[in-house]
Amino acid sequence: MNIKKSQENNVVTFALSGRLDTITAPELEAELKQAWAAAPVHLVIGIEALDYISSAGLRVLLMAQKKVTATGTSMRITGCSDTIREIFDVTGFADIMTIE
Amino acid sequence: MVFRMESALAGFDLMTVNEALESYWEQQDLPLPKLFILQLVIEELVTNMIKYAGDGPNRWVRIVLETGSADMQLTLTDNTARFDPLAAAEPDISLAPEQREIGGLGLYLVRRKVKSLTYAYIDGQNQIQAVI
Repeated sequence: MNIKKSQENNVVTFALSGRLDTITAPELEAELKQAWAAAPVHLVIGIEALDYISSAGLRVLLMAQKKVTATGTSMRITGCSDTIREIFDVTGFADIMTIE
Repeated sequence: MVFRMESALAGFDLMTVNEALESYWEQQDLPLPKLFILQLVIEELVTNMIKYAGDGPNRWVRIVLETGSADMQLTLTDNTARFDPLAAAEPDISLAPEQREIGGLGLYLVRRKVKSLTYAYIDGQNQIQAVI
């Protein structure tokens, strides 16, 4: 997986490509923790080029959602493919996250 | 056609398994959505085996996939501790984010994404069969 990160004011944008699985989820978790280490931020997670997600990846996204909910900021997941949307739908993530 | 792979659980390399499956998929010209489901099922079940049943020196898993018909049959056999994935509790997916537990989604996803799932404990080995 590749992670591209950019920040503008208090909005941090990640662009993910490849696979978000048991092997790569810890990389995203570390990047997210670094992003909100200094102050609460809004997150935009672009997954247009993401081919695959497993429960290890879902776990990191849920952790991020919990964090923004607790700090009063927001998280948007953008560029969701039909295949990955199905995973968000069956796990109920589509109901608790902003997925575009 | 049959895809077959056996690996020790100690140092199980998901990337190698995924690459072997991708190359088999290409050779056999199989539908990509099924590859996503298959890789998901293998990742979730094997990760679970290692997490709960240990990856001691003599622990192994065998992956056999029959792809001859539209319904593919995956058989995962392992010699870890007895564990029935069908008996695991399901997470409550209707809770608000602050109440949802982090984890427990892997087996739930497996159960939701396959057409059928059966479990048997035979001669000291777990055998999970999934129709994909």
